[in-house]
This record gives sequence, C-alpha cells and structure tokens, in this order.
Amino acid sequence: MISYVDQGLAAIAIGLIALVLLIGYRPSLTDARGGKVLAFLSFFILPVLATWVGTSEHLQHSKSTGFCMSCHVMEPYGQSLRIDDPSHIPAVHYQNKLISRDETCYTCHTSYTMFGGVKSKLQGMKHVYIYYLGTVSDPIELYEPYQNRECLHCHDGSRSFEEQELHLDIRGELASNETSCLECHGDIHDVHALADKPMWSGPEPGGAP
Amino acid sequence: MSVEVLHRRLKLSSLLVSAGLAVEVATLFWSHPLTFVAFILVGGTLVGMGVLLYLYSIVSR
Repeated sequence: MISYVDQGLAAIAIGLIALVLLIGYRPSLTDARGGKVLAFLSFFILPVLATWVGTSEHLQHSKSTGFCMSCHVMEPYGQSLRIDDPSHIPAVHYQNKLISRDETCYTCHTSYTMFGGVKSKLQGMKHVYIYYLGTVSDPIELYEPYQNRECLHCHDGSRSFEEQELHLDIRGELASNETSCLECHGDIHDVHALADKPMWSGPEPGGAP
Repeated sequence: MSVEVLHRRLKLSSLLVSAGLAVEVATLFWSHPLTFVAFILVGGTLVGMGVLLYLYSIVSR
C-alpha cells in the first residue's frame, strides 16, 4: 500500500518532470525574465528539493517492517514474531502491540543514542552490500552484543519492570550491561525451531501474504 | 556561447533531470532492498548531472 505522502510526492514530481521537459523542448521560453526564473526553479531548486524530500521519505520507509522483510533472509525472523509462546520475547512484543507493528524490527534493532538512527541507516547499507555481494551468516549475528539500553528505553520506569524486585536489585548492573537482559529473557528469534513451534494466526509481519 | 548551444544544453539538462526524477518516483512505488540505492545512485546522479549542466550553461553564457 503506497502512502498518501508518497502519492502526493509522486504527483508533484510528475508535474515537475512535465515542466522540465516543456522548458527543455521550448528553450526559447527562457528568453524572457519570467522564463529564466521558471527555469531556475524547475532545473535547480525543485529537483534538489525533490531529491532531499525523497531521501527523507526513503529513510523513513527503511524503518518499516515491510522493508526489512523484503530481504528473503529475514523471512524466518519475521515468522518468529508469530510464535505462540509467551516466553518468546520478540513474539510477545509484536503480538501484543508493545511495539509498533509498522516498525517492529527497527524499534528493537536501533541504538537509542544521539546518532543511533544514522548508525542504523549506515548498517542498513552494509546489509544490502552483504545480501547481494557477501555471505549472510546463519543465524544472522549482531554487530555487537545486544545492549540493555535498547530494552530499558521503553521498560525502565514501567510498572511491569519496576514491580519485579530482581530488576530493582540489579538495576545498576542492567544499566551498565554487566548483566544482560537476555540472560533471563533469552528466548529470541529461534528461527531454526520454527517448524516445531505453534504459530499465532495474526497478521504477517510487514503485511506479506 | 551562442543561443543554440545554450538551448542544446538546456535540452540535455532537461532530459537528465526528468530521467532522474522519473527514477526517483519509480523507487517510491517499489519495495525492495535496492530501492534506496537506485534512488541515490541512479536517480540522484542523473538529477545532479542535469542540475550541474544547467548551472554550467547559465554561468558560461
């Protein structure tokens, strides 16, 4: 499903293409002062603006679950979000809408730091390179151990987190990554056991059929 | 530079810019890992070349 924003951008860009072609094939239009201004807008200002807005739109789209699922190697990871098991952490988050279903992967796999978003985008370009020109590891490995910061971004201060005494006892260790959240909540993307797991019949991640 | 040369460059510039914009629009409707790469490397390059050619045309007149 193409968003209304994308449809609007496409309509504007098509109008701009028509204008650029008109001036290109009738360059005498630029002889007049108004034509010069129009040419400056349609050959310089508007194309640069369109490219900038398009880049922003693509970067926004790259956060979507559907975009992540467009790589075949991600399909089992998407399927693991439908495992019908309350101890399977990604599935619980996806199925109970604890995170946005539109940005499921990005929500947990970005760094919640000042330049975390930029870092994620650069890593995304690296993913594309490896997907087409390299070898994808099986299972896919993270670049670095999963940081508690990504969990605590949402869970720190939440009632379900604060009411667990153990969480309070080891809060400092969690904050410093001395103890990983995954030591207790380690049932994550068990992609090699998908066939043996019961599956929830809810919506497919990324809207795939 | 003669008016004919300017017009010819404007025509070429318009082809480059419109081709680049067409590629950029097409990538908006395509959900694939390569969409952003196509947007920047193909669309962005064509638009960039067209813009630079236009700017060169008007300053070298």
